[in-house]
Amino acid sequence: MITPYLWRSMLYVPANRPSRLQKCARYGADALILDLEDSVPDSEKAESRLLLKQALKEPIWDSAELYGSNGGSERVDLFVRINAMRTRYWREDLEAVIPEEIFGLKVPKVEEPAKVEELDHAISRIEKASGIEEGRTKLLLSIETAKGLLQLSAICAASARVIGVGFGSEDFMTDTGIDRDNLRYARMQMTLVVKAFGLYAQDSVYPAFSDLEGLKQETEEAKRMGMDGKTAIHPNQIETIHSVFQPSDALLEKAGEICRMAEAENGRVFNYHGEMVDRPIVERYRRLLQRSREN
Amino acid sequence: MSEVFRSGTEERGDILIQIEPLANQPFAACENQIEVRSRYESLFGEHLRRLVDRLIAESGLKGYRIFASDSGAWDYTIKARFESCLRALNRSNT
Amino acid sequence: MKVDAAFPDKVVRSLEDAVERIGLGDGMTVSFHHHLREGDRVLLAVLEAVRKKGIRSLTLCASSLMRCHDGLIDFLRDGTVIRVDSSGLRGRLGQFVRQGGMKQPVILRSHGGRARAVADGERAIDIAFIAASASDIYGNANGVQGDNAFGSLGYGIWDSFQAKKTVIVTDHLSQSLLPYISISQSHTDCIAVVDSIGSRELLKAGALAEKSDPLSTVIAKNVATLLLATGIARNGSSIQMGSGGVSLKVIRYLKEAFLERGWRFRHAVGGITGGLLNALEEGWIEALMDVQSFDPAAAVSILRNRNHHEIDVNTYANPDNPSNMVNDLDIAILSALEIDLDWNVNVLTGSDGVLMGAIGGHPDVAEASKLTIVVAPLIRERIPIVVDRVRTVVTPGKDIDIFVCDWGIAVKEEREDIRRSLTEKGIRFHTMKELFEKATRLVGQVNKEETGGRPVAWVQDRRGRVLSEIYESETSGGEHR
Repeated sequence: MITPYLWRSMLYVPANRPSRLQKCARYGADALILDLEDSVPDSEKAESRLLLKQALKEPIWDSAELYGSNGGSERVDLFVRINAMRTRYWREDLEAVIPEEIFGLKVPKVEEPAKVEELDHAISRIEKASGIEEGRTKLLLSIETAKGLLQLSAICAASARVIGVGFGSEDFMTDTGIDRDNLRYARMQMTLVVKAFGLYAQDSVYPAFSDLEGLKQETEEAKRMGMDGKTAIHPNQIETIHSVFQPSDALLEKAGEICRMAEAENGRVFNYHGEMVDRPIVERYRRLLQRSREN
Repeated sequence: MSEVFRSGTEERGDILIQIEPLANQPFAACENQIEVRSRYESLFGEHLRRLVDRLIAESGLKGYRIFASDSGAWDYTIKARFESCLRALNRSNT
Repeated sequence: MKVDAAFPDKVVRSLEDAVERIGLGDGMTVSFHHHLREGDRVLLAVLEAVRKKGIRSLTLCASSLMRCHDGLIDFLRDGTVIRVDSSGLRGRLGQFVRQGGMKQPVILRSHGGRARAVADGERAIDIAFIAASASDIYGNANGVQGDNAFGSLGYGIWDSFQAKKTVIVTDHLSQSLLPYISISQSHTDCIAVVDSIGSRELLKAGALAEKSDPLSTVIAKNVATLLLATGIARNGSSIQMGSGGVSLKVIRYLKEAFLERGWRFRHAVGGITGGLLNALEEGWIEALMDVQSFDPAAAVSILRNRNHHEIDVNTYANPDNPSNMVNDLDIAILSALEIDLDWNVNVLTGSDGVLMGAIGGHPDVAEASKLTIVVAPLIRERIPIVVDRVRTVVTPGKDIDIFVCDWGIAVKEEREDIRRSLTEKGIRFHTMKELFEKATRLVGQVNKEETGGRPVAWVQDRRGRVLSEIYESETSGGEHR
């Protein structure tokens, strides 16, 4: 199954730093995660929420995409990482950001489907009150504990707003005692469930941001495991992440040919240079082309 | 001991705003004491002062000392930091 | 009877002896180059010697002045120097000039403009003091040997042709002929040997490091994409990359593309950075025309690589020389402190009027290159780069074609060819007005007070006409630097 959401990269941006908020859309990440959670100390939660709300109203979110047509300036996709539902901050976070028409929320430390339902309803209330189309705000959930991973199927099914799941390595290691080199199993399990639901599978950040070689390796691994994108902690990581999740020219050419042939064959299975190509495979290549054109 | 309500920082791109009630002055209820400084004094000092004055007027604050130390904040940041101070102040007054 | 024709003994062991020997007198014009950048020790040392000899009222024709020349203020105050020519003014010296410290306005020229001026009589040089990292006893000199090797002597060479007399100032005297000669013995009248011509650490520190700031990367990527997608950068192109952080990153992106395709630039011109040295080694730039080396490693390259040419500033950009190399440029990438709605560029003064830059080769390159791209962020912290009208016009808008910032690309309306090409490739671009409106919406526009004071500096265009003036101002400015 191919997920319809094609973000190769998502950049975390602390919401308590105006200078970062103003610049972050310029770095070319496919989407942004404006963070009210871990990068903001408790003493700054309230003022950061307000700062973020004001910032969301400013015309600073233009996509940095060079390709496109003149006169159109799309906003880069915006996610806000609200505080975990076990804290006292999350409700006010919602009140502040939902009315500002963001793409969705990144929800940390998700463990129970009931909590996702609760969140869904809370969002609906605010959407209605703000005159926003109900269901518009999506959810990108973060799995950071073993319990969350075990409940993932039910969690994914808990709300129609759920469009994807991200793996939170740091917290997962803390929760389970598993070290960094042995997270493959957990990340794969997450990916399997997410793909079963046709959703977006996102890999965790690579914290050593000056180690681009290490980042490349981990990102390549994520790609091979079937993940769709990776979060970034620093703008310098974006290029590397994109280079890994980017189809090569040769692959794009192949995709183009296959799509053209598929049109001619009208749904029938056909032979492409010794490779049998059926409908699901055509779909895969079609998505690939779309992604490259959009990017 | 009067409380100081503070928001923001002196980091580049931010503004530090402090609001505290003026203590023990007969005409304190009518006047505000305002001090504004900026890294960009020659270029944006005037604009900053006008904005701060406007925000104070809109807030209806009277009898407070308002201090702002600007490190190149854009307008939305100035408004947000000021609003944060006001909210903290109002919360403490209720 | 045969008369002994002896080779003159040109060597002196102090700058004071040199000043005396060369016949420097009151009111003369002396020249210096700035190849040692922030590591230069020669200019101030010579003026010290001049002062000790009681000589006054000199005109200082420097190719440029750096922060290490702040000490010049002393010599201006006491009348040792009464006129200054430079390419730039910065720091305390810039402040001194702006606050009215000099009676005569400073004349600011581009490198090509200075090449013209010292040759066409506008600024005749009496004595050129040329720092050289190596000299032989005959007076042949270079900047590529010795402990303080700095690379090309591009500005020095031209001064040695044009000046009435030339003093080589060196800390490395060779008893035998140098294996590499930049300045000929026939142009050298005197050789002053000193302890040290410069500070090696500062010289190295002056070598431009690639900026680690991610915005520069974004802008650089946009430039490279634009150049490659439109086919403007192609096999056989010639290019000048400015000395700014963005330019250095553009090199990296172009390298990938050129190596992949087996393309080569036919040459790179101007200020030579480490990235360009690598490019020459790696083979994707065929030759370097070096008028100024920004990396001391250039010294070795000039010595070893026949395709690394040391050129004088006349060959580089003198507008009176039809054979100048900027005339052959296809692509130029330049920086800006400000750019306005008419595309005029300012690289000299900040928005608050503080002198903080240098003209360099900016207007020379912009006028002559087939395509000129200016790169800068839209906003630097709180200050808009795109403005209504620049504070100081250094390069006129007619010479600029494209502006690339972190909010997109702007293409001059007149360049229909580029616009068509970009549209074909699906690359977005804006008008300068749109970028201006964006900047204004985000940070407003700077309040530029009208200064009514007397001019303290004149900015000349390449051909000697005054292009803009810098006025006296009380404000010290620069609080945020």
